[in-house]
Amino acid sequence: MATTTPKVMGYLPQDTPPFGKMLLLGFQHVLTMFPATVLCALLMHFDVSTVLTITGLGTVVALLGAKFSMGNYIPLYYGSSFSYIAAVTAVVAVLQPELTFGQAATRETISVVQAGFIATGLINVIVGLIIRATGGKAGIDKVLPPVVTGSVACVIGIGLGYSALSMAAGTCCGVDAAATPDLTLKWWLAAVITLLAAFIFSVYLQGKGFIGMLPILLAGIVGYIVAIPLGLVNPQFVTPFLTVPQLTFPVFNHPLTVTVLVGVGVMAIATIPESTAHLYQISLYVDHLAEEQGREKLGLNRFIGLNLMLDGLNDLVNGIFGSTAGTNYGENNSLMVITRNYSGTVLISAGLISVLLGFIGPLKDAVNSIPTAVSGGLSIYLFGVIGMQGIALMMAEKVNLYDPANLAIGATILIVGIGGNIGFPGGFLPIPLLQGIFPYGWPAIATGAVVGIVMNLILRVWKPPVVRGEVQFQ
Amino acid sequence: MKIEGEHVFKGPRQAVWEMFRDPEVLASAMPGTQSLKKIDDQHYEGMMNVRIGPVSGSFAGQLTVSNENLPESCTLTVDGRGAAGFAKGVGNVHFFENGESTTLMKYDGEVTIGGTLASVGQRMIDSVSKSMIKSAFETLDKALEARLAAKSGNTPIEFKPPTEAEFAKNVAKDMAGGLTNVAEVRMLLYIVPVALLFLIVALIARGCGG
Repeated sequence: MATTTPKVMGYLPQDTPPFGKMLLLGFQHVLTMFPATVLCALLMHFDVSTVLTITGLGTVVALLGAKFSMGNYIPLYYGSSFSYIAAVTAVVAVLQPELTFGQAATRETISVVQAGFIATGLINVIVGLIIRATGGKAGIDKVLPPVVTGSVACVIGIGLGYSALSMAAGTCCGVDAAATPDLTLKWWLAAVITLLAAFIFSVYLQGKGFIGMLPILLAGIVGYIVAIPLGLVNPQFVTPFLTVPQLTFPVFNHPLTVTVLVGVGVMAIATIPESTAHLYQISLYVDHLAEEQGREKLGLNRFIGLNLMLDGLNDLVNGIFGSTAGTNYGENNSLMVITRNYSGTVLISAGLISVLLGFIGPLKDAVNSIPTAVSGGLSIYLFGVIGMQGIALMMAEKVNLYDPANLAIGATILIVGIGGNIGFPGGFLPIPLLQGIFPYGWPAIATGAVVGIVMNLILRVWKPPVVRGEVQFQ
Repeated sequence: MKIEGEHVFKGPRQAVWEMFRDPEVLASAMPGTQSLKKIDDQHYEGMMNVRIGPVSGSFAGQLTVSNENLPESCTLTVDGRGAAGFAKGVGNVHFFENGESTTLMKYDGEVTIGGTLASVGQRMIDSVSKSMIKSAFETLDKALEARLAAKSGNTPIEFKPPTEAEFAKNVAKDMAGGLTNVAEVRMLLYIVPVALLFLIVALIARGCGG
């Protein structure tokens, strides 16, 4: 609670704005996380209402966890993570190959998948504790160096390249370019206009305040409007106004369970560096505001381990109730920086608003009526960005890509992950070993990640004779 | 490492000072002290067993009392060496009349440790030294009570300094208390019941939903 009125406007995590302002700021957070979270739900065939309600609950639980454990909030919003799309869609495709974009899977299918989110949650919690015990990020960098995490992030994004294109072309959903060329062109038109809109909005609305935070939402709206005359929108408002989100519960005795635990669980390593980067970023801005207001700096960047445990806790909540695994959102960080509002109670109210949105039936129907082609256009952009972020991570960490060890690790992860995920049905490598555990083959992205980790550990045990210096060139 | 703090003794300043200058009482306040020999009024020599986490060992050391301003203040210098490392410390102690025949003691100082003791016990040194100080004052309080009782001619109160084992137990207890102050450990105390609660809710909901 602010005891004095600071000269510089803005809210630190421990501050609570007046009620009306708190709701308004909270609603902005919801609007910011909405497009990506909803798109994740549609792509992974989860129920949109459930995902909105449970990710909101997960955010509230995580914020209260920080307050309980270190006496203040860590201001982060937890939405659905794109990192899990590839691993999840592979499993869903095995169980229900007939599903098209946005169609929710059956409760049985979701029950199998969500067990993987419990695994990813536990991995995050354990890694958080290890970081605390080993005294910081250096320990985790030995096992998960940026060349591994960056390459895995690349794979998760680029490995979805084919899905994005098949959604844009309609081949995902039975549209045949040879049989119905006109219809195929309509799909491409809607997709390309959406892509262009996303490109233009994200570049030219930068720094234009709150509207600059919503390029994906705006592009989706443009695409939606364009798709109406093309005959691609077919809204069906069938859900009653007040609806109860469907909850599903994990099962651990399905033939695919181990595949899911490994294939989905391992994706945690892609969210770890992202989540840590978000913590560093928000900590910097929070302390900057504290300094401007002449108040005590919080130094939230001390809590790397705790932050990962919060990530894990949020995943556990999602895994238990049948929503998609999450991560803290860079979009919401940007919103907080722009509005200078890092208030924990605002984020809690945002979480509660999201919980309530899950109960509004027509919202779910409207979201479900988004044409696949429009989502395809957005996906080309968004999936590609995940891949680019992997490269950005390696650049920021100054990974030496002239070192044969780094080259070999990155190369192997990329080929096994991308080649395997796109080339083989469901992204399962046809390796007829351990068939009791992996009845459909080895999940390609997870396999690539594990091979990369093992290669890195070999380097730790047998030190290479020469470590090449960084090659500098202009 | 900096050490500072204060403590109120339930006795007049003169009595506190006398106790403080009695090597036997000082030795008893520092558990693990094997011997404390008076060389002269300002210098003492002794042996001490110290255990910090996995490291233990005996230390031979000198204690020097200087800048004596009876009965108000003095400076203590400790220099100890042993197989497990070394410890050096300088501290200033002040005694203030505090009314109702109590004495306020204020202390501040700087301690440096090195060797295996420092490298292995670094994380615990803070908790251990806090524990040691706390335990020392508990012992001194009891000792003072016993001395005052003896002086006034009442039945002397039996005074027994804590053994090394008792002290180790207290340190362990304090450290466990310190552990629950670690954010990540508190987080675990939050995650486990919350996850269990949600699992139970999920099980009940599944039961109802069929």
